[in-house]
Amino acid sequence: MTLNLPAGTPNPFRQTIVKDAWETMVDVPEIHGQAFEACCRAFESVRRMKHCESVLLHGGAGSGKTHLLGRLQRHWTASPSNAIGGPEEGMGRCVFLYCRLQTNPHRLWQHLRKTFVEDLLHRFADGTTQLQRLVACRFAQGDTRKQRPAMKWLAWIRNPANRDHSGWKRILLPWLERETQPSFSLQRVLYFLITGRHVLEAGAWLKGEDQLPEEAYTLLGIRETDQGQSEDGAREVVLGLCRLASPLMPVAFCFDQIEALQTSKDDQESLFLFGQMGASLYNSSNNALLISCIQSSVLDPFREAIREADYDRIARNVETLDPLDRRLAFKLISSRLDSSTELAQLRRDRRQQILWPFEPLDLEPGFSSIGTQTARKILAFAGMLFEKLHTGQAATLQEDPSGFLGKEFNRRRTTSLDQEAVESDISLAHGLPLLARTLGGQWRVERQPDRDVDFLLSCEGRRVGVSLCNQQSMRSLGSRLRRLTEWQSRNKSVKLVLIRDERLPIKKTAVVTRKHLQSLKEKGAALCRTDPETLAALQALRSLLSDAMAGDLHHGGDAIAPATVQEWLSMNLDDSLVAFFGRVVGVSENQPDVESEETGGILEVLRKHKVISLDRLAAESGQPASVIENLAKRHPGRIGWLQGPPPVLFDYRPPEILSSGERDEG
Amino acid sequence: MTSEKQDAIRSVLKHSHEPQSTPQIRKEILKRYPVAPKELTALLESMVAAGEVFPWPRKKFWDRDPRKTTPRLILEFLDTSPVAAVGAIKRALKLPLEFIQTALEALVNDGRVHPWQPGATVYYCLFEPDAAAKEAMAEALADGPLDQKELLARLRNRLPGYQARHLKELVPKSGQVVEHPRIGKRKVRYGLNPPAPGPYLDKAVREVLDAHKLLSPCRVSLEAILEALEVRLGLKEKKARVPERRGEGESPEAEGLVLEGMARLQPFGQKRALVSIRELRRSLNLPRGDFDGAVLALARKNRVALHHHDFPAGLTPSQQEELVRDEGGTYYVGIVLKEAS
Repeated sequence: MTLNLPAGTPNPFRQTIVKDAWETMVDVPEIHGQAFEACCRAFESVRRMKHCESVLLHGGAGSGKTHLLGRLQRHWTASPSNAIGGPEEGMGRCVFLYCRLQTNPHRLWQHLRKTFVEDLLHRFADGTTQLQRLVACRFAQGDTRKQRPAMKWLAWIRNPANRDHSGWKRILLPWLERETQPSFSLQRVLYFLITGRHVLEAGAWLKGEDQLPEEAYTLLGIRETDQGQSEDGAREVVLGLCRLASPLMPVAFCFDQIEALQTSKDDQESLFLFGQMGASLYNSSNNALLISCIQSSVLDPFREAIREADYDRIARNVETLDPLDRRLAFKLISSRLDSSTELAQLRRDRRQQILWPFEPLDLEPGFSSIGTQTARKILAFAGMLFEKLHTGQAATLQEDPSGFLGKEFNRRRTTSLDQEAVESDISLAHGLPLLARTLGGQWRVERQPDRDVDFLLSCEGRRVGVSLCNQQSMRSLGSRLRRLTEWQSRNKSVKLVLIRDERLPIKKTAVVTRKHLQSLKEKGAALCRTDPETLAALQALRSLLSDAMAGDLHHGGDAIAPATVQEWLSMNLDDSLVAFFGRVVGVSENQPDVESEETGGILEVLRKHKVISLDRLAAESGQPASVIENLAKRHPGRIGWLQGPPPVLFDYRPPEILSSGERDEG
Repeated sequence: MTSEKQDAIRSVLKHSHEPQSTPQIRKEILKRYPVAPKELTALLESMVAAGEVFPWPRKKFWDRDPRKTTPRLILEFLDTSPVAAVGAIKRALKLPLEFIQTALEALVNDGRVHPWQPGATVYYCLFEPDAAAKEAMAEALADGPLDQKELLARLRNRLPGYQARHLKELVPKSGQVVEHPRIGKRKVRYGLNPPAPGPYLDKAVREVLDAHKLLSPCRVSLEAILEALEVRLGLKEKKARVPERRGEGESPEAEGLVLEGMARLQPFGQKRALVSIRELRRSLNLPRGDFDGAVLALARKNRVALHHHDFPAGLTPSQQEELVRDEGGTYYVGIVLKEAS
């Protein structure tokens, strides 16, 4: 059967992934209504009891965790409050914070700080920000004499004519001084943000102080610290911002995709660190609601990885997001169909058939044998069915997963090319450990040995300390380099590599910074400059892997396993990334180095077979397996290695080392 | 001479256990040096300006900073009076309200003191009110069921101002307290165990006896009536069906055991937490087929929801063995009671 729909009628089931909780989506309140109610109860408990509450939400990939957070966001930021003493209509009821955990777990607080500030400055349709609403609400609470409502305060705050009003200094400064004690810088930056001055610079400082040039500090009138950004510093800022809110207008922290923190499914440390952060937030404030989302299949490892006391704080309430049964699935499909304006008239004529153009029986194959299915799979199935009815052709997937991953990688890399230099640190901190793992995992990422050394890569007794030096401010950079000089003289056995975005020059006038850099180089440290293309590829790699870990990378409704993505990346890794990693670990991938007498035979066999198991390569080349393994570890950018079992090697030759004849062949 | 007098003041304040008034300090110093009240006041003022001595309320002085000392004093006080309102703390410590409120706010933020607000008054305590109420409730009910009034009286011993509405919220959350339905004139009661059904059956027993009285002339025994009742209540029929249904791969007994096992493995206070299939299988020790059949049957009957594993291919064969697999090849990792609709 083919539907006679107007040409260009969009498929209402096309979107199956909710990007974040700020996105507006068609909603069916009955779906996961119990979990929604549990979150609302916890929210009211924070307001009433003036102490923290927490909810742990879990469900399968595509069960609707992010969608539920979106519903909570709309409910809390838009709904009027009925509570006595609470904010009024149009003010929202909380500071809503959505934190997707695609980050390096050792930088959790820094990631939270950045997200907190971004969401605090989130602008609603009426033009107000969460920060302005929060301040208006606090002022209204404190305005016991005249009892002006929060809306009136909000209008006053937003009026540009009041920017230089003396009232600001009388009211705002003492309040900030009291709440943000003892941080003068935080106080000053908030003052600028609230009064609408130097918003760009103040917002950037609040997100992370390393990322500012000297001129911005001068403008804000705050002193630049030479300590750089640290987890402790970020924690202080987060707690300082929490103190601005009150239990009557709590801070709702929504942590999504806990599992995306893991570099592999055996990685327990990331979960442990999240547990510590959550418990610390719970202990240090009286106005926070923590909502954490995790996949059901990671729930057991999560419980095992974190301390019991931390789990008790993060999971004071646990709610499951069950797969949908037929009744709810049909409601979901019906609501999507209703949202299509092109279908509206046709559906109005067939009021009795709530699923039109589908029949309930058409949808039956979309359910599992026990009659349930996740929302995402239901939508993907309905989407294929709709396509089939619309075009008259059986909906089939146009490409295999490999083709899909290739396109997706390229799409993400292209999008990331616009990424600014301030984001480089985040991409590198999260992406490099994932890249090391993708390249076979011979180089292990060890614990951060020092504040200024972001990770330690080790392989067979060789150790490389990597320090990300993307500070815009020469003073911050200089201080870091000075500390690194001291660190290197204490750790001579570790090779130090400094990574800096090539878009961030080291000024000629920064004499001291240059002196420290020279001193480090003389001691054997290497400076590795990264270009935007490499960073974009790294960003694409990390987002692809994180989405796969979180079950958010799907092809035709089926989630693609992280192992599949890892394998695809191993085989199709971007040349620039391989060369970059080679530079970081100090391995030259030049032809003459690899083509030594000792290894010539091995490479010959590898070239012949392209992909071969370790045992077979050892047998054919006549070299012991251990020698081959060492060779692969020394040349991660030249010889591909898949851990197995059994370990498999593949011939990897970036174009720059291929002879012209071979290139043409390829 | 001035510095010697200042030393004497320092010594007096250092050894005092509480703030001292000017006459008290003078009395102590007079034992060593003559000092006029005006001179002493001037000396104290200069020491205050130098930050060596701190002014305390009621024109007293001490060498300890009231802002730093107040939190400790509050904690000491709450150690002896477990739940206290700001007013009571203020009266006991004899400090200005502003000091007390600032210190309490800091203590609450640090999680060392918890607020408790049953009505208009905010009380403060060293324990977490919800947890304390749960503990007090468990203690009170340990000796047997209590009605609401009795239970509230016991809870108020621990948390003053505890209201019936708090109890109504706490009972479902606690997960261990059962509300016994009202019967006749007896009010709703709360207990740690399910209510004994006997008292609820009085009317039914009377009717059974009436039926027996009616049928006994026809030689119908009380046992026969009981047997008929069992059939009518579905108890006999259920037992008779067991072997037949087992043959079809479904076992109500196994299903019952699965549900019981799930309830046992729920964390304290939770009703709908996901139970790991692996843990449930281990705890029940049922034959593999029975367990898998019961879990899938309960899901089909809409009694439970099953959560699947997204990437079962990444599991080892032994890990896959521990899960439940349906006909479609989907592996299930978790089971949870169905969300009430």
